[in-house]
Amino acid sequence: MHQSFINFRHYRYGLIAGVASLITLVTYLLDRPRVPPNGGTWLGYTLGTIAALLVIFLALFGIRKRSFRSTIGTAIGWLSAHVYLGLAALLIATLHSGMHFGRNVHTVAYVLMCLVTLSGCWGVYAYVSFPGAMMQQRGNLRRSEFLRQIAELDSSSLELAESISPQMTQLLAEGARRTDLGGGNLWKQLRSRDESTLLLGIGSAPRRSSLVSNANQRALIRTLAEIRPGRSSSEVALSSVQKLLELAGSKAVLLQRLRRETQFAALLRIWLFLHVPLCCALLAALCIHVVTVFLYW
Amino acid sequence: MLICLIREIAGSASAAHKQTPGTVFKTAELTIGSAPDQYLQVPHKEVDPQHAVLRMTSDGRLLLTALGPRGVVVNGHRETRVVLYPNDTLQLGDTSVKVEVPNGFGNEQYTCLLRVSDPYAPDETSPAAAAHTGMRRSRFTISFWSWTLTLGVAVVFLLVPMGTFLAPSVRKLLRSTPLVPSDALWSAGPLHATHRFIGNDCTACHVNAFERVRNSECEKCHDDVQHHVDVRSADVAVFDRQRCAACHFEHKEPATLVLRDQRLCTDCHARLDKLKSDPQIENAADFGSHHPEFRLAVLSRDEIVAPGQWQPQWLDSSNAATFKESSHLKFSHAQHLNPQGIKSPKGERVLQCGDCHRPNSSGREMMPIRMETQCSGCHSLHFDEHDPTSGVPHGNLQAMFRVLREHFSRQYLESTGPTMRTQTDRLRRPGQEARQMSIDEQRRARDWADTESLKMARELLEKRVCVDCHDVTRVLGASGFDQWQVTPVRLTQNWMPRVRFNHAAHITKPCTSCHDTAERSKRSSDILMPRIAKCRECHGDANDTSKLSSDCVMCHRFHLPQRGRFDTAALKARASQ
Repeated sequence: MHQSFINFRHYRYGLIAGVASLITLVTYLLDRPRVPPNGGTWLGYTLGTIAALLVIFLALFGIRKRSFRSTIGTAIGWLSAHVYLGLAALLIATLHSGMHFGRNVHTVAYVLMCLVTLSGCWGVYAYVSFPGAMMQQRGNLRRSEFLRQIAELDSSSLELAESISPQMTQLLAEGARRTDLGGGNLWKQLRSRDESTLLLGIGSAPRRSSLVSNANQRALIRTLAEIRPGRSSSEVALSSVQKLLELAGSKAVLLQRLRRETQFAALLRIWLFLHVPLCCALLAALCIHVVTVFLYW
Repeated sequence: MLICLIREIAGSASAAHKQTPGTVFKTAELTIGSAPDQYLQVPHKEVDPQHAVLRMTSDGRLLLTALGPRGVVVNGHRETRVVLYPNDTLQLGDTSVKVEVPNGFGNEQYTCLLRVSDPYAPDETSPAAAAHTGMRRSRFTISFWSWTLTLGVAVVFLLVPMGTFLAPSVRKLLRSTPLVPSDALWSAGPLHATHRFIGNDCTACHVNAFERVRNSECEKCHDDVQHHVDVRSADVAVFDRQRCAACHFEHKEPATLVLRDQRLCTDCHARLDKLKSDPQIENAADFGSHHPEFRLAVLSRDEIVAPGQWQPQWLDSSNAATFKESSHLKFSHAQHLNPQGIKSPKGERVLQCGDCHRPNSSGREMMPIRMETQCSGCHSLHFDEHDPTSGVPHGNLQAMFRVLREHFSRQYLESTGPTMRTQTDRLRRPGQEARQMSIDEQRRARDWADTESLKMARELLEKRVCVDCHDVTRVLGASGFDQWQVTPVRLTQNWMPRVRFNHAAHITKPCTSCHDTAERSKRSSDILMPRIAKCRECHGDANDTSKLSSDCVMCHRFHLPQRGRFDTAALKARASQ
């Protein structure tokens, strides 16, 4: 069986975290403090200390995974422990809180911990399911292959267009230039909307030129399909238009796959934009929580 | 404005030999950038998605305005706003845009003509390939967000609130300014409603950093709190290091100012016999299962120890001979609660408990029973059935005798009977002074009034009115009005001095469901207080789930009256000795 961070060493860290969670939960349920359950009972202090140490350990993973020369465990082992103990830490912190929340730094620390764990869960889901899905839709092509193929299609199209008319060349050149490949900022990558446009009415003054959406090359295909055999058109020109239509269709398919690929890559990366900064904020909030609790004892 | 764009590939055949077809836009402004929706689109990494915009000014000049921080490069100079003239060249990445003098096109006159030269030939490489598909490099990296969030949290939740703690001069300002973070953000939970007037003045109680709230801070307001034990006794040492906050808990939810966990009491009271050599009270661990029988206190007089004073005396419930009240009142509950009714001035009347036992305004306790309010409606003190105004006062024998004397004196003077006529046969004439009684007549009148008064007093005290309810004794050797003595009556009001009982909380039950012997009781000495078993029918242990869970503080208090101040300064001084 393939060993991933999920089933690392027969779920070693899953078991450890599970047993730890169970012990904590049972202790919490059996404990009968004299005051309503809160972070200030002996169990509250114990759970708080454990949770804080766990958070520090979990944050150390960020250092360990960058130290390629480190021999303290394997990176996959650390990741496995990070995932399972992270879930256990949230439970322990929840019990430490005694379910008391308010508008204060203590609740901020807890909410940050929840957000870090949630984003981590999303990361686990992404790492487990996306690579397979990406492989499936990408086939054997790499991103550079996609780009090369699209460039080839553009280049063939322009070559054909030049043989038809300067207007056609301009139309195709503008279409190629204004193609949205799904790049740009993270939000655009995630949204994966085709914002390609097409400039219509080139060289046909006094008609005004206009910019229209060319999502999935639809505008280009429609424009090409609307070309009717006129008096001046030759057999050769018509067959070239036919060929251009085929090329536009192929480009549309390639663009869609590239866009999905870009979206997956962004999804795999987006959670880290939450997970890491929130984790840093959590460490700060945790320190403040510990200090202020005893500052105003 | 009407703009013509002519786009050609630098060095290509089309540019050299033939006119490239132009693109004509009619638009108020010509957008320039790398995004596909720009009129003049140049996909290049040095060109922003919305790079610049070309407008026509009111005086007909072409104004180019850069939209991004990198500006626009016109004729080799970087500008933010520039007016374009013919032959000016705008550089967009590798693409150059030249402003030309517009030619007429048909009947229309272009506002301007821009000749765009792209650097690559269409058959060499696709413009699409040059476009960027990966993550655009941004200032907003993971580490940027990490630092921003971390510093944000530190500033909002530590640095600014720390100002409130460290700088008393700005403390008030920070706390009162809305949206400015203060040390209120460190509060672990809301204050109890009774303490909310303190507001967000944390340092009112949290005086020293990293030190738990001291009792002295509590005593600033609660300066007359009584101790649990007599402060003069040795027991007080047990409480020397006790913090107010051990029982009175703040900033926790649910907001309970008094902790009800009975281990706070039973830590000592479950084994009081082992802690004290002479425990005056028995061990108690839980109401439903480990609690001694109720100990009742009745008021009684010990004429030797404290003459004339009523003192509470503990009763021994195991000794039937002494387990009784000694109020010296003759009273039968059974007779008064007779379901057939009892004689009253308005005929037969069936009495209910509440006709005499009335709650005070809070409903918690019963008002004292008084002759004037509860009894006199039926028990009249009239002594002369011919005179409805006649009546003796209650509670004072001397006053009673005085009223009797006055009554019979008046009767003597006003009487028109044969006995008196001989004394008053001469009527007073108008204009003449009333005739003075002679000394002899006066003596005769006084003797007569005294005799009649004594006769009436004897009847009232020994036969029909006073004696109905009171113990009346004759004083040996005494005569006249001094020969009688009525034993004082005092009904016990507080049977359990260490317990708070709330009648109002039990109002849904009839009185006799707890005071179940009342209807059968014929003597006032009968104790009608319910025993613990009666309470346990409804009240269980603190953790009982089948009955009303009842903890210690439901009935008892920690701070007991007349024990002396719970003065921590004194406690500390003693602890250090």
